[in-house]
Amino acid sequence: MTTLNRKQDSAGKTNRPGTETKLAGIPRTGQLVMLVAPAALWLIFLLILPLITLVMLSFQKSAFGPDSTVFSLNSYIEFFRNSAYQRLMLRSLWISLLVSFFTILLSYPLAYYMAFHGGQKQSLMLNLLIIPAWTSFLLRVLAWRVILGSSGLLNTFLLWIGLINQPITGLFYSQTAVVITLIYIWIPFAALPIYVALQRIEPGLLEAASDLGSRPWQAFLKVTFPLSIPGILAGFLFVFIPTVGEYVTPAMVGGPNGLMIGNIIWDQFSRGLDWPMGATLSLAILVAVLIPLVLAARVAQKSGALGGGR
Amino acid sequence: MVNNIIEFENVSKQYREKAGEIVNALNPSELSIQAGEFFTLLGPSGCGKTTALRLMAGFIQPTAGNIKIDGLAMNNVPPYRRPVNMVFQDYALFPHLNVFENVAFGLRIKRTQAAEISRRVNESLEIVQLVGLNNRRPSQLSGGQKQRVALARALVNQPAVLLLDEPLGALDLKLRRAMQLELKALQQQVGITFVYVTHDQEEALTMSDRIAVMSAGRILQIDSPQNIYERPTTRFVADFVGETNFLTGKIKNIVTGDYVKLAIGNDLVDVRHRTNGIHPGDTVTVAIRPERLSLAADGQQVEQISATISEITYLGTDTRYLVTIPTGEKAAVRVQNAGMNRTSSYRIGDQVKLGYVLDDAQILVS
Repeated sequence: MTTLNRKQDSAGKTNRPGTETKLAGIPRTGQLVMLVAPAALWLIFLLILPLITLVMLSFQKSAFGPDSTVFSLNSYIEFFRNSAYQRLMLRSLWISLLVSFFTILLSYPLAYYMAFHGGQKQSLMLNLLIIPAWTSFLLRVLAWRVILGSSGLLNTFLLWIGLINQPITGLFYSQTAVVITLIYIWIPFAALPIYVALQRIEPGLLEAASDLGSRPWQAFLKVTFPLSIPGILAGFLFVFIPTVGEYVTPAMVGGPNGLMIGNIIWDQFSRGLDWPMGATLSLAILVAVLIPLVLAARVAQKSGALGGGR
Repeated sequence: MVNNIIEFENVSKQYREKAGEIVNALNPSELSIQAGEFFTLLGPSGCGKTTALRLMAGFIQPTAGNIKIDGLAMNNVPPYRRPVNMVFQDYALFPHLNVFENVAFGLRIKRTQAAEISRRVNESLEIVQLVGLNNRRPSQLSGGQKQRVALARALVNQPAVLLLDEPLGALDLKLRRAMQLELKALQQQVGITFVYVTHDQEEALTMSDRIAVMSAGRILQIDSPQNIYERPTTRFVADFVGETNFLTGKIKNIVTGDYVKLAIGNDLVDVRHRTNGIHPGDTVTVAIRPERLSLAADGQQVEQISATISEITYLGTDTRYLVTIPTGEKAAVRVQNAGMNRTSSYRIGDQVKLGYVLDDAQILVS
C-alpha cells in the first residue's frame, strides 16, 4: 500500500485522500501543519507580536534612549488624569455609534430592495454598490470637501434655488461632516451583510406568515426583520470598529470639533513622539471596541438568529 | 351550494415565460370540494396540482375564472384574509421561533389573549402528538416532528379548509405510511376539510374521500378512490393509478345497452362499457388490472383470451406473469400465492387462457 502510494506520488499523480494516504510523501500531521502555518504565522507576526509590543510600549517611560527600558505607569496615569483624552474617546465612540446607526438605517432599505425586488437586476445593483469602493478612499473623502465646502456644490445649489442667501459654513470642518462622509464611505459595508441575510430568507417563510394572517408589515416585523438581525449586527461591527480608530476622514473634513481619538494617536506617534502614550490610547480603543463586540455577540446568541437555519 | 366549501368556476392560470411563451399551469377547470371531506389533488409533477392549491391559498391569482371559499368570492383577497391555512411542503417553520411560538404565530397576529393562546397551542400540539418540545427550535427537530409542528401551526387557527402541499414528501417510507393513517384519523377527528396535494397514488387512495387526477394542467377525473381505481375513464388515469394492462380490440357489435362484443386477437369477449359514442367497427383500448386477470386452461372461464407465458416473476405474496397475446401485445397477470396457487404450475412458453370478470374490464375514452 505504502510503496504503491509512493510510486504514484513519484509519478506526479496523487491518489484519493484515504486514511493512509500521504500527499507528496508528507505524513498527515505534516500536512496539517502546512495548511495551518500561513494563517498561524500571519496571526503571530501581524497581530499577536504587534499587540505584545504595544502593551510593552505602553508601560515604557519613553520609546527611545535610556528611558526606554524603564517601567512606568505614566501614560496610564496621564490617560486617566487628563479628561481631554476621555472626552475625545467618548466623542469617537459617539461618532462611531452615530455613523453605524445611520449607515444601517440607510443601508437597510437598499439591501431590502435588492434582495426582494431586485429581480434580474440584482447583480447589476450589487456592482453599482461596490464600484465606488474601487476608487481611492482618500478621493472619496476629498469629494465631500467639494460638496460640503463653503463654496461647494451643496451651498451653491442652495444659494441658487434661493433657500439661503449666505453660504452655510458650519457644514464643513465639523463633526457632522465627518459623520456624513463616513456614512457614505461605509454604506456598501453595511448593505452587503444585510443583503446576504435578507436573501437567505426563504420565500416560503413569508408565504407562511401571510397564510397565518400577517399583513405585509406584520410579516416584516415578525419574520423578515428578526431573520435579518445577524446581517445588521455584522454590518454594525463592520462599520463601528473601523470608525472608532478612523483618523483620515476627521483630519480632512473634521476640523477642530471633528477630531477623533485616532488623530491624537497619530499625533503621539508622529509629531508628539510620545509613543508610550500612543500605545496606551490604542489599547484604550481596543478595550472600548471589545465592549460593543461582546454585547453584539450576546444579542446574536439571545435572538438565536445565528444558530438559525432549519 | 351550501355544502361546497371550495368552488372553482372555470378557473385557469397562465404564466408568461421569459421568452414570451405562455404556459398553461391550469386550464379552465371546474372543481367543487365539499365541506368536511378529504380531497386529494393527484398527479405527476408539473400537472398543475400545486398551482390549484396555491390559487386556493391566495399566493397566486387566477388568470380567469372565479374561486369561492365558503360561498365568498376570493378574487383579489390576499392570503391573510382567507379562512384557509397551509401545511407547506418544506414545512416553512420560522427558524427564529421555538415550537410554541411557531404554533402561536397566527393567534398572536389576531391578538388573541395570552391564556387562550397558551390553551389552544398546547391543545393543537396534543392533537398532533407533539408534547414537551415547546422550547425547541425547528433546527433541533426531526423531519417528522417538524411535520407535526407545521400541522399544529395551521390547525390552531381552526381554518375552514386545511391545504396540504405534499406534506409527507420529505419523510422516509415507514414514517410516511404511519403519518398517512394519522392524518386521515386527525381529519376525521377535527372535521376540517383537507385539500391534499400528492404525486403518490397509493397515498391518495389510502387517505382520500375523493381524488382529482390531474395531468398537464387539466383535471381528468374526480371520483372516489375506488372508482378512480376500478373505473378510470382515461388511459392516463388508469396508467397513473396502479398498474394496468392496455389491450387493443375491435368492436364487433353492441349487444345491449351496456356491453359489447369485442375482438381481441382471435378471441371474442364481452366488455361492459359506460361511455357513449362507440360504434361497431371502432378500435378501442381496454384496461384490465393485472390482479383482475386470471390464468386457466381452455374452457374454464367465461371471458377468455389466448396467451403465451413469456415471463414469470416470484414476488413473495404474488407471482407476476407476463403473457403475450396473439396480437403481439403483452399483459401482466398477478396471481396471489395462496391456497392451491402456492407454487406456480406454469412454465414459460405454456399456452393459457386469460380470464376476467365482466366488470373488471373497462373501455377507455381515447
